[in-house]
Amino acid sequence: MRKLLFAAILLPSVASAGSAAHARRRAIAVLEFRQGVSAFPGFADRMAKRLRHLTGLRVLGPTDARQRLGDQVDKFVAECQGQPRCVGAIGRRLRVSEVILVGMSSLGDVVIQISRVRVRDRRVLRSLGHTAPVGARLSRAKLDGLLRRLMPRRDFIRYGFIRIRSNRRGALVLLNDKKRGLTPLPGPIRVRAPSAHRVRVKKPGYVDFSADLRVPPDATVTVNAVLPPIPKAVTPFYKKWWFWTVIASSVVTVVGVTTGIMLTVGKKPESVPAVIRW
Amino acid sequence: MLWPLLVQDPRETRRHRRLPVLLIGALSLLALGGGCKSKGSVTISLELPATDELNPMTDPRLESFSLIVSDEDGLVQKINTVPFTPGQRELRIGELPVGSFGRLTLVGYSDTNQVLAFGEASPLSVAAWEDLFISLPLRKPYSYIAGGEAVLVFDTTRAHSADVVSPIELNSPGQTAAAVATMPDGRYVLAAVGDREQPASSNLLVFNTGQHSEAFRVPLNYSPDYLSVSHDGRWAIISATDASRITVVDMDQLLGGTDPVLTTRDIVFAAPRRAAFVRSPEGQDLAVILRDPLAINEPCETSTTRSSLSVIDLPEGNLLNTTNFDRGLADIASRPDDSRIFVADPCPAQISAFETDTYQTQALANVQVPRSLIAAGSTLWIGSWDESADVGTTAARIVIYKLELESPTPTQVIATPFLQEGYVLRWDDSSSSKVVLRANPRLVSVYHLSVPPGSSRISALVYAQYYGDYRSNPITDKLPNISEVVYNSFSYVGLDTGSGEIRRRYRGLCWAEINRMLDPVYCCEDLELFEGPRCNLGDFLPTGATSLFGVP
Repeated sequence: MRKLLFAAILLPSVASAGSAAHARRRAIAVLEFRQGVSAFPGFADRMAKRLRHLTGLRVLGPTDARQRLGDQVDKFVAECQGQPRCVGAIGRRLRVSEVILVGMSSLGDVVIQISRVRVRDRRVLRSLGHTAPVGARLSRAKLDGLLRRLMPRRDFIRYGFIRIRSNRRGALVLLNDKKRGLTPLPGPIRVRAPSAHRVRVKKPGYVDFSADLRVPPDATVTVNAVLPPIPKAVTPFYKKWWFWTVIASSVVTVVGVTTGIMLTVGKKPESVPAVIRW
Repeated sequence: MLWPLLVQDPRETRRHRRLPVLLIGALSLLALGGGCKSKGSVTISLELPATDELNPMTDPRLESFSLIVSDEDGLVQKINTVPFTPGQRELRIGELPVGSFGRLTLVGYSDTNQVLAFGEASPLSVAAWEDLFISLPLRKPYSYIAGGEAVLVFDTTRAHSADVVSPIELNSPGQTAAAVATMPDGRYVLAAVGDREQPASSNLLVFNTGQHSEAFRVPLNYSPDYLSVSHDGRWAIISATDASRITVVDMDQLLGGTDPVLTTRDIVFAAPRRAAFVRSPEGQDLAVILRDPLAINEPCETSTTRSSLSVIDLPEGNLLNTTNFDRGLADIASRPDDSRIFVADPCPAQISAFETDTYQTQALANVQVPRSLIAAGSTLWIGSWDESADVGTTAARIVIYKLELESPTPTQVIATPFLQEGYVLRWDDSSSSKVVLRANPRLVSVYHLSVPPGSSRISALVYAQYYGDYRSNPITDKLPNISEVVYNSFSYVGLDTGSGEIRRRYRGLCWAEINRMLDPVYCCEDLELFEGPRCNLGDFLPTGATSLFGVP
């Protein structure tokens, strides 16, 4: 009843994650060069779009790169000829930590070579090849499969944040029944997203607060937990006579079971019978 | 401490009188419960195949069952054996010791102690007071052979071609199973299936051994050549020499229902072939890839092959080391809980151990031309290469050695002259007017081995080259254009490790060269045919073999 009564006090607000959280996200650029191939137009832009959707990375596609470095960027990428040192230098100018380079050539079929180059040391972290007939379309599932093979698994883990505030200081915050500290909490709690969570806030003498909420990726859900004082007429359950009767009975039950087994069974057997059924 | 709370409210004193009554009731129930507690038990529920053909319990030769309990190190702690009568639906198999064990093995035997049924469950904990229910898959110890448009299935306990098991159909027209492997729990058999014309349509197919039906499919973008599964079933590695890559499959994830595409990781390697799995002394899962091995029929004398061994860590797939050799290696093998790789090194005629931490190779034993290798417990089985000194009088033999790791001297367990083949000069279905030129094998090479559980049988893939010189034959007068005939044949062979006898032979691809030219019309005539197509010009080349619950 109380949960229902105070459900209205939950004030969830979804906003973009704060700047601190944003700063932790790795930035990557997806660039493309073609060797006389016009098939799969906009492939790198499409790849960037899927990466933004599937990961929490900050992704620059070819269009974003042109906006930052001008239209010359395509010429620079082509001149690199896939050399990691050169591609890494472009990544440095784009201020990203990795460059995904999509190279397309044609040998009968279209050959798509995708490489991940780390900007810091110009190292190729991973390289994949894919061939497809000219005119074919790469399905979204196939593209997603390529991306999942290309990028580390951790990149596909996305996060959101839960910010919990309360009108009471020193109230215990539980997220999914796990203690997360006392109010006011130092900052928002990072959780995997999208995900569902149960928030409980409690303090002796006040009515517990409880709420179920869903956290979308890269967003912060704010929970304002209002804890009103418990009305004085209400007797806490642990002062009820039946509560302690049940506790005492349970203790005696456990002791009795153990004693009963010890007394009646005696020596522990060293083997047990086995039967096969089919 | 409780009492003041219980009595603090005088208005509730009357209610508290109920407490003693409740306590007495509870105690009475407890005494009853304790008295009824009985000794624990173990119930093993068999997971049996759906069809009579695959179900080992329908085999009328079954005479007894043994239940074997082994500890974590594989040492046998207890064996219970009881007789079996067909028609039984329950088998009381004695007492099992209380404690934690590494493995429970159930084996069904014939009256001649042939293994007819096999199943394992692990690990298990038998408690004194609790009832334990175990589900155990029980299967026939089949050998699976890859190389054609279906996976052939052989009951290694049968000796006659009449007892043919239905093959596993791939349901992928035009595709060939290049390699097979089984999961250690016996529930699945894996087949790497490809088409060199359309490599992008290749797959790793996972079949349920209970029904021989497809359970999982992992797309591959290349035509595969080889397949290995780790000892614990966690990893599978598919290698493709033409595509210069290997694919590592996380089998836990695949069998757990993860999207198959997400369970694989490709690593680019030049000329990879066989993979073997080890665990480093630090507990790290490693795979060793044999690259550029000797070809099946490549002799040492004229070989220019240079092999290498690459060590990669799993699951990341990082290349840790590549060791290059100045000669061609033939095969590698590994065993659980050993950080060494065993190497068949035919050109110096030895078996070596390659250390995966120091990357050093150490000779273990001298063995005559080892061409294939597997490790079963502390035993290495070695398939060899044999040539006939005089093909007119002596046939080359199937030679298999056994090397106990504690002993430096190998034992030759099988040295059986291989079967003759014939070349049909005239074939006329309407009459018996055919002339068959017989030939002895001049070269026999065992290029792949597999040992079913019990080790009383061994499955071998064998290449044989036959030679016939008919220049001095009276037939030459009638057919002067025939002088030399060479046949090349590939077979699956089931051998008895006790007697060395060839119990089964399925001849696959065989072609003839007459006067050093390929003859596309006539085929080899198997004079002592056990099984297989009589005339086979290229539809089945056995490329891989595996044994359920065996090695590999």
